[in-house]
Amino acid sequence: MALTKETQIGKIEVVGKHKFVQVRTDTVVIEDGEELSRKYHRHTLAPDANITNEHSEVQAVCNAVWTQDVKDAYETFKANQESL
Amino acid sequence: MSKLEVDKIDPQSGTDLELGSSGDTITIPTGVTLDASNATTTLPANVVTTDGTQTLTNKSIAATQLTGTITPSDNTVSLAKLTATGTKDATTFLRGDNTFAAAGLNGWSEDGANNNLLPASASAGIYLGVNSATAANLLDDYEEGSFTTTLNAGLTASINDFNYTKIGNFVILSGKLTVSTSDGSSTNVTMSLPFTSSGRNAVTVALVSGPNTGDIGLAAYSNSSSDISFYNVNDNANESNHRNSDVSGGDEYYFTFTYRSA
Repeated sequence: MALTKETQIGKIEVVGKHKFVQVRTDTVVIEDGEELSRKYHRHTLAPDANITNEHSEVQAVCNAVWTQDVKDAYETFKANQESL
Repeated sequence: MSKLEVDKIDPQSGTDLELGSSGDTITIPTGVTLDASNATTTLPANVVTTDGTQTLTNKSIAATQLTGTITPSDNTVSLAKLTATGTKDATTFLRGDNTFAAAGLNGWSEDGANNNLLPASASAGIYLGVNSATAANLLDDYEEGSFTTTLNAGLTASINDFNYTKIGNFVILSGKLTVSTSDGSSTNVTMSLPFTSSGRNAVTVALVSGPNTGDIGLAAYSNSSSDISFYNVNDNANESNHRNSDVSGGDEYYFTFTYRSA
């Protein structure tokens, strides 16, 4: 009876004009090849995020969609955020 | 028992010949061959009785002659005897058009012994409240899980523990945040979201408790992005942005708020 626990990148979603990257990490418990449970954990990455510690698949997506134009547009957006 | 030995019996007159009378039993013993292969034979209504086994060797019964019901002796018909097309297995059923097909709706299956409906497509859902496909009535997403938020620059957290439930495009997020350090700057406090919000007014309800500096509470709003920002809701004064300068190490925030995702 082999019981294993592993994490998988369940979803990588690119959303909106600022190309936010939504990452769902799945924690999966498997017994003898049969999946017993799957739990989700999410985090979101903005174009100015530090992705050094992200999974290589996440880094690849971020690097693909976060062009310099996207990063510049996001910086402009942040600077123009409405303040009271 | 008397014995009659003749080579042929013919009617005395006419063409009808009768053997015995009603109620009699005429026995043809074992080993005797009754050859009627060249004759025209009219059989009684019930040819095959439930007693014993009858074998029709090298004979066929025309379909037009099968007007009654044939019932096997064990009342079963094996799948091998069926000519139905399609795949016969534990997931299929025999339809009225003689085809084995998957049970239930096309593209949906059962989640094993759990009996949950499972669509083949991860983007499939259920239309509710309509009897024709209408996008606004399609419930096609549900997810629950935990979430770690990312704070704005200058803030760190010692406890960062959230849970979310997403129903359609509606997200309910709740959890606790304990600030570890703050640089005390004028940077607005922001929190990342598990799903990008649909717009600034996406946050419909925000229930927040946390530190205050003369304010009476906090209101959250979305920046049309993956972030949430906060207002200090002041007593008899204009609202103001909630900034790092409003926060100290050890401050605790308890959140329950909902918003519409993009």
